[in-house]
Amino acid sequence: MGKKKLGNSKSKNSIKKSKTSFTTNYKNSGPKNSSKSKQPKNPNKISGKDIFEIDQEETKQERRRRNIDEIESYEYAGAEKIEKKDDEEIDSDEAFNDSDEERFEHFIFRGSNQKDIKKQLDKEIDLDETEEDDDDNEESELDEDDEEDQEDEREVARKSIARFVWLDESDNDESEMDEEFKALMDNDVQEIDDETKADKLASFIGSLDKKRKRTIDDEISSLEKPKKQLKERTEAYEESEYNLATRESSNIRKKIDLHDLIGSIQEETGFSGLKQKLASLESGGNKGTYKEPLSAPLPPRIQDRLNRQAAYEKVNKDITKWEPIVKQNREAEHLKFPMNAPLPHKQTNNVLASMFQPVTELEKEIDSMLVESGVKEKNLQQYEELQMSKLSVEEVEKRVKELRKMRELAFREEIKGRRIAKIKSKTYRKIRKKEKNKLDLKQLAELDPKLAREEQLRLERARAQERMTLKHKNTSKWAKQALKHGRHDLEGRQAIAEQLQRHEELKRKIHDLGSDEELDDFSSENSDEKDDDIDAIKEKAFDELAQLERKETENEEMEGLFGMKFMRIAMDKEKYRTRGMIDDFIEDLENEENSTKDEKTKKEVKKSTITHVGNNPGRMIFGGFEKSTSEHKFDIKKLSKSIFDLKSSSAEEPKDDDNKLTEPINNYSSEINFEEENPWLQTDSTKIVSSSKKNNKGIIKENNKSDKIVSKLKKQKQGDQSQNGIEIDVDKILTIGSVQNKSMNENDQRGKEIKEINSPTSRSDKASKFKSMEDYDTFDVETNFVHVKNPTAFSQRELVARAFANDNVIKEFEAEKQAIIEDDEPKEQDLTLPGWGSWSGKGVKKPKKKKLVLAKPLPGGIEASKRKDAKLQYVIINEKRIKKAKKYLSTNIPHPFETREQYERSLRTPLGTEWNTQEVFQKIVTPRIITKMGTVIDPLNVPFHTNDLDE
Amino acid sequence: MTEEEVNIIDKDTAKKIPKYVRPAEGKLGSKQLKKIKNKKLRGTLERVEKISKEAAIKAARSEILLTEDPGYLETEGIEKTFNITQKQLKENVDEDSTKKIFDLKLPTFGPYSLDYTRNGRHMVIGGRKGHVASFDWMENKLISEIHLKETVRDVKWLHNELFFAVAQKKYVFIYDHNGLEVHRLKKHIEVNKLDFLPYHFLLVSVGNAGWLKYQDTSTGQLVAELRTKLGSCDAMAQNPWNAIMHLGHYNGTVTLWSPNMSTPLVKMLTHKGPVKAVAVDHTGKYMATSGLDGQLKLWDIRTYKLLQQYYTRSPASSLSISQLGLLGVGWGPHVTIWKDAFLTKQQSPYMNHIQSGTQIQDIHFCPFDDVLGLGHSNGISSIIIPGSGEPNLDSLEANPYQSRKQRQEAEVHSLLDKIQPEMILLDSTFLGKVDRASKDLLFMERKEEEETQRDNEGKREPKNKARGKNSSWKRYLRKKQKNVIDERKLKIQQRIEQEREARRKRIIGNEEDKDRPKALERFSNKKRKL
Repeated sequence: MGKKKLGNSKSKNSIKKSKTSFTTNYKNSGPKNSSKSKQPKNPNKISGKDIFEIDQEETKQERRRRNIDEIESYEYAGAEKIEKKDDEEIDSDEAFNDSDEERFEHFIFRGSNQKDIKKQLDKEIDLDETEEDDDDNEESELDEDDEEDQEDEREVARKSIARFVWLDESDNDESEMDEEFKALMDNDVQEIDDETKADKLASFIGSLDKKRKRTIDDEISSLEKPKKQLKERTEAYEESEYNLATRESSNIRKKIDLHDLIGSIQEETGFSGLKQKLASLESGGNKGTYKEPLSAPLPPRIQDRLNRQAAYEKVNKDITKWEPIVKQNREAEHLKFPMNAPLPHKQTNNVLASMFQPVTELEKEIDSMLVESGVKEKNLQQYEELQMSKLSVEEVEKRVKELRKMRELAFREEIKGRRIAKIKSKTYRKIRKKEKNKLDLKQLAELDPKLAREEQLRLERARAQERMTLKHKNTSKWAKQALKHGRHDLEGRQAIAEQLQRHEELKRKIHDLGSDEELDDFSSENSDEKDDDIDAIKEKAFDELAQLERKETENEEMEGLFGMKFMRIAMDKEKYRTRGMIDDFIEDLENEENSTKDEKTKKEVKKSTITHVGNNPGRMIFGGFEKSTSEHKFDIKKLSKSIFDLKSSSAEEPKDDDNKLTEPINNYSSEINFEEENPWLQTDSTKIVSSSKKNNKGIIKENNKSDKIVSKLKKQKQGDQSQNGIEIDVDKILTIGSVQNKSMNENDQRGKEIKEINSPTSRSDKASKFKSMEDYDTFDVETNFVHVKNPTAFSQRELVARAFANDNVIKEFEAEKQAIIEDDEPKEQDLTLPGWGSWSGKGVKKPKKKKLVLAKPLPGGIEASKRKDAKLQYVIINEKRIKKAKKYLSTNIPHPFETREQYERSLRTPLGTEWNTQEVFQKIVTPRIITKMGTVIDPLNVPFHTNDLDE
Repeated sequence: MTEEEVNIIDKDTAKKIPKYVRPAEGKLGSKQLKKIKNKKLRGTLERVEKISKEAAIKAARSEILLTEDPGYLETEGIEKTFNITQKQLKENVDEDSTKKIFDLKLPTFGPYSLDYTRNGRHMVIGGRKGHVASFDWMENKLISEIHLKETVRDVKWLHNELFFAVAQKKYVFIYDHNGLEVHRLKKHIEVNKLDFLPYHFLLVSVGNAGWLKYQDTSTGQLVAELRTKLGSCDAMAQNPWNAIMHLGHYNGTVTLWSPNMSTPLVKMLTHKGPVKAVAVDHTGKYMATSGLDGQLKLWDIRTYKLLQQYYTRSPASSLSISQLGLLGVGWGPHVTIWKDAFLTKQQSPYMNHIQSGTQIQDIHFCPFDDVLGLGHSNGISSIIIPGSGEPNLDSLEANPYQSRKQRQEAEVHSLLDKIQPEMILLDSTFLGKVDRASKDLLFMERKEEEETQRDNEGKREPKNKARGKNSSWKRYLRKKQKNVIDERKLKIQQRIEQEREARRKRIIGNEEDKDRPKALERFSNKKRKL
């Protein structure tokens, strides 16, 4: 079966076409032999059977082709005109009709190879049985196996088997059979070894002899094959009046063709001319080659599809080479047409210089001068050349080498530098920096050892300082990590706490050290005194006392267990006792000192009375301990209460004064600092005050009513204060002044201060308005210490606060804010219908819980916690939607963007000239496509690098 | 410039770049870009980023063109800048600058308010008792002077030196450079403070009634009338960055207004007492307020938080912030200037000035010049404050040296570039951004809009087609004064009367016909005949 398939029509056609030269040769030679000499070239090997067989086969093929598709064979006629002439002689063997075919259908003729024939025979017998079934399949398989078959054929040919097997079925005349006719068609025949080839060729040619064939045929047929009973045929189809046009079912495919008409002529002898003509007419050209009928054309739809696919592949290939350039153009920011326009030729400076011809008079003059002085470019060049010429060849070479080497070195250095500059590692940088510093230091040591030592010392000091200040802070990597992550594990927290504590301790030590130093300095001033040691001890004692005091004050602010009432009372008692002891001790000490030195004591007393305030190591209280610190506190509290209203106007301060009594104190103290810094008051002290005095009358006139009230009240207040003025002065709370104040003339200020203390009311009434301020200011600049607060300084502000005390501004504001917050909150929709779902009538109990049907709150509201002003106490930010601005907003994110951020980022750079430099502006607004007017825009060129895709 | 060149940035420009990088939400580095799958989008975003980066770099580089540096007073040793008087300054500055220190003694027409044009070239002054004058103060050239003989509360230049608005006793008037009254704005009643938004062409006024009114001076429309509900207002300032108006009220609050919202955008409690003066920084970041409670407070209006607070010895009556951020405070006869006041707590003022024997009414820094103008009870005076004005001017924005032609051009351009009042919002960069309202809300709004549209479609107001009412006679009669009676008028009246009679008769029918008995008359009551 497989072999049968090999010889299908299409493949043979195609082969035939491609190998016309071979076939024609064969045709030419074949008929010659048969017609003229009628003797094969190698008669020994060619049997009569052979000749006949081949001929028969030929004719059969011819016929079959005709049967299947006449039209197709004619289609090829044009292409094979040349062959026609040659084929004429072969056409004489057309006298072989159906009956003959039937008779000899099972005869197989072969060349010399007997074994093969045997095999073939076996196969054929098998095939005979299955033939009918397979017929239909064959047709369908024709197309599919085209290409395979070609290859197979060649293989077979290479095996040098020239077999011509002819099979037929006589019964139904089905000529749709595939023949094997490979060796003939194959171009590879030439490759077959010469002997066999020659044999085969001879046998083949021999087989073409017709006359012999016929006689032998008859004999054989009579001998070997029992006669077959043919069906009696009266008509081409069954006779019936209804069945005129149709044929016998078995003959459905059979058309009436030329053979049917002229078959009878074949037997006759006198019509050779006619026969020949008919044959030529019928064969349509190429005689001698097997011409398979062309397969039926595919349905146009499928054919089109195949065409399209093929075309698509081709076009696809074509188009891919455009891809890169199209991509490039698509991604380009701007496209300028015509593309790749040649740039206007730019002449280099050298060219211009060489082309230069002096034209104007000035140029000429300069030129002539240059020529005269001999500094023209040409001359210089000549001079250089001359110089070079003096040198020997070796020297020049050496020079060039040297130059090259230098250049090379420089280049390497550059590359190295670039590589190093690229390194991003911080540690590397650090190490490098250190190395560099070291190197510098070394170099410095070589140059100037003294300076180097100083530098070294400075570095050491810096390092020590660093260690002191930073080591125990939480700045190390570990500490940071621990702070970040170790919030939850106990050990980490403890470690950090420990570290902090350590840091605190160290810091304290540093401070103490500092104070010691100060004291040392102090003592060194008085170095003529002998009892340095005693002094130091005393100093220490005072320090300790101060520390005790500090601890006490710290304790006072304790909370929790120590904050409880009974604990406090107990502590107070304790404190009272200790304080008594301290006082005694101090007195003792003082007495001792008084007995020795008078002048010094004053200072010492001052020092001794230092107490630290609160937690702040920088703040100290000076003055006697006659009055307890708690009393101070009370004073402060009172004051703070009175000025509270004023303070609370600042945005961040709390409003509730009862609950947070401690906070105002803190605020107060902070405010004290801020007051101290208040520059309004500082500047007044010198100039403005004096000027204001002069203009005081005018100002008072201009003042508002409120101001008048203020001044009145103030006067009263001042009267009161003047009575206890001295007392207050004693209790002054002092702090170390800011550095700035040092610039003031200390002596003057001191003098003023004394005046102030002695006669606080001595100033003229005119200046009374600013009096309190002045008091404050003058006290400000007392040597190193400044008044934190003179209670009188409060008076004005206090009074101003009082003046506005009635305006319940804050409460009103808060109420308003609350109302707005409530108003803006999302409103729940109550969809409950009254009476719906409940019973009515007598004796019905009302359900205790009201069932509420709530719908989703209407959009547009905002919860209190989500408001922008949720954390701003004294600010109301409107959360309403501004509908008028809606038209300037985009409701959706525009197309290419995926997120709002992306889109808004693209908007943020403004396009106008107002916000951009000219260059950027022009770049931004350049259109994507620019065409030059009046130029031809050529179609796109494929760049050269895509040529390889062409093939 | 190639990309490589862009990438090579020297240290100086690198420092300046952040100033020009526009803030944006989120990050868009190479990491984020990689995540974006859409190639085209990534391409666009990359391009956008590149452009914005390049723009910033170029802008930083272009600073090289700003040749002038602002100079400040600097002292040596024990000397303090606040001790330097104008007299001392005058002795030491160049002759051209000495002309900037001057006093106009105008004691008769009461405390003066003043205003500079946007380019700082011209000045308009308004005396409380009705004296208004405009002049080119640099050349000491008077342009116009008028005596209005009624109270003048404030004066304000409009978009250029051709027009100025004056808040008078009852209305606001607009005068041209010749002092000719051009408009009377009847809707602005008893105005205390005037302001002008140059990019929107809006004249803003607020007065005793507490109504904030916006009038478009290019079209004449009254854009918005907003009721503050907080009583008389005497402190107003505009935020030049977003054109929001800041009003200071009697209850110590400062409110921020936009013409698009009937309620204040922000309301903040600043003082315990009435707010006396408000000033907003040139960059729109900071605000200074002074109250009758004797405090001066500095605010960050991006966060609405208090930055610093100072006590003033008497309540500051006027505040002004210069282009370079110097804060001027006028209190009593004094003016104190503070440098870097918004950044750190100041220990001492930058400069001091005292206008003895007067009460400061109004102070204004002159744009593009180191000059502070004071309006006080004795006239006006001008003092030098070194380092107050922007030294590098953008002549396309505001040009003190502009010619007439340039002014005309600028006027047309500014009109073409006029911004609509709807664009006044707290965030001036909102334009084109995505609406962040919830989807539900947007849906609801759209639905409402559609509904209203549908409702309006059906309704069509009937045209008032009263035929004959506008006949030429009637129009004539309507137009003429009613108390003047001339011959023609009588004639016309007569004819009209006649016509009316004829019409009546036509409707009722002829009287003679009426007398004729009708067919069914006989059945009617006989009494009628009588």
